[in-house]
Amino acid sequence: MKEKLHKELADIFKSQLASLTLEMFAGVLLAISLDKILLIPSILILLPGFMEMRGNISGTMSARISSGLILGEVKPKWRKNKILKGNVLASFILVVVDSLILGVVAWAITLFIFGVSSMTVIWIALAAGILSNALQVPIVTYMTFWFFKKGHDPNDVMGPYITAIGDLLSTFSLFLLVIVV
Amino acid sequence: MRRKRKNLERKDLHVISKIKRKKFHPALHKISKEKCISQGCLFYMKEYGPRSHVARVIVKEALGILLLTSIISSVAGIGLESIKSHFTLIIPLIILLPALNNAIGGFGTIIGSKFTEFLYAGKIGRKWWKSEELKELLKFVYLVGFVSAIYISVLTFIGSILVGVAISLSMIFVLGAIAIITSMILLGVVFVITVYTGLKIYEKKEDPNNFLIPITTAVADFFTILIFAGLVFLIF
Repeated sequence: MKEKLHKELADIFKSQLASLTLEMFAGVLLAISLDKILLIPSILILLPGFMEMRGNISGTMSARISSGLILGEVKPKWRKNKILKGNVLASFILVVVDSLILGVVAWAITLFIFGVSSMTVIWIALAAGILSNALQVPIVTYMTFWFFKKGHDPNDVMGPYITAIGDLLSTFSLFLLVIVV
Repeated sequence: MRRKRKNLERKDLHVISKIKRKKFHPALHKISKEKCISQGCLFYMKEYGPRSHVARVIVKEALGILLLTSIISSVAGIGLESIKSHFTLIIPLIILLPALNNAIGGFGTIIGSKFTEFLYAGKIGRKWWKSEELKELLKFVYLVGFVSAIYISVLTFIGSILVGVAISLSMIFVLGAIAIITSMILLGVVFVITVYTGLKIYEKKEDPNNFLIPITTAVADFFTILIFAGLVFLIF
C-alpha cells in the first residue's frame, strides 16, 4: 500500500518539477515585460487573481472532461461533442464575468487604498481574459484527450501543467494587451 | 464474483436526468445496484445528461467559488503593489514568484485530493493524527517542498541569466532562503486547513474534493504572496 502511495507521489513530483520549469518561462516573460506592465496602475493587484482564475477555469474544465472520458460519457473527439461544447461555452462565460469583476476589484482597491483611478485595468483584464482563454482551451482539451488516449488518467497529470501553461498565457496576454493599450 | 453491467433503459435515464442536483434520490441507489453502474457515473449523468444544459450547470456551480478565490488572490495583490519599487530593482524576484506560487498551490491540490482519497478509503478516522498514510503524505510534502524550493532558486538563477541580469552568490542564497521559508511555513498552514475543513465537510456528507482544492489553492496563493512580500520588505 505504501509502495503504491510512493509511486503515485513520485509521478506527481515529476509533473510538479516539469511545471516549475515552465513557470520559470512565465517569470522570464513577466520580467521582460515588467517596464511595460508597470505603466498601468493596479496591474500587480490584478495579476495574482488573474492567474488564479486561469488555472481554476482550465483545471476544472480538464477535470470534468477527464471524468467524462473515464466514465465513457465523453468521446475524445472535437466535433459533435455536446459536453465539450458546453464546457467551452461555460469557460468563456466564466472568464468574461470573472475578468470583469477582477478588473473592477483592482480598480477599486487602487482608488481607495492608493488614491489612483485608472479604468484601463478593467478593459485589459477583460480582453486578456478572453484572449488567454481562447489560447488555453484548445491546448488543455488536446492535452486531456492525448493523455487519455495514451492510457493515463488526465486527472493525475494535468493539474501542474494547466497552472503552468495558464500562468504563461496569462502573462503573455497581459503583456500583449498592455502594448496595444 | 464480478457482476455484469446491464444497459440503462430509457426510463431510467429520464429519471436520472430529472433529479435535482442537490437531491439524493433513492432511484440512484436502486439503478446503481440493479444495473451495476457506479454512483460516480450516475452522478455525472445527472449533472450533464441529455436533458441538462451543460454550460448553465457549470456556470451555476462554479461561478461562486471561482469569484471568491480570484478576489482572495486579488487582495493578496495589494502586497505585491506595496513592494512595487523593490520589483523594479530586483528582477530575479519576478522570476521567482510565479514558480513559488505554483509550487505551493500545487502542493495544496495534492494535499487536498490525497486527503479526500484517504477519507473515502477509510484510512482516516476520528483520530486522524494516527493515520500512517497521512504521516507519509506530510513527510513527502515537506521533503518535496524543500527540494522544490531549492530547484526554484536554481531556475531563478537560470532565468535571470536569460533576461541578462547579473546575480550575485549572496543574492542566490537570499532568494533560496525566501523560497524555503515561504514553502515550509505554508505547507504547514495548508495541511492544517485541509485536515480541519476536510473533516468538517466530510461530516456534512458532502464531497470534500469540490471545496478543498479551490480553498487550499486560494489560501496557498494568498499567503505565498503575503509572506513573500513581508520577507522582501524585511530583507531589502
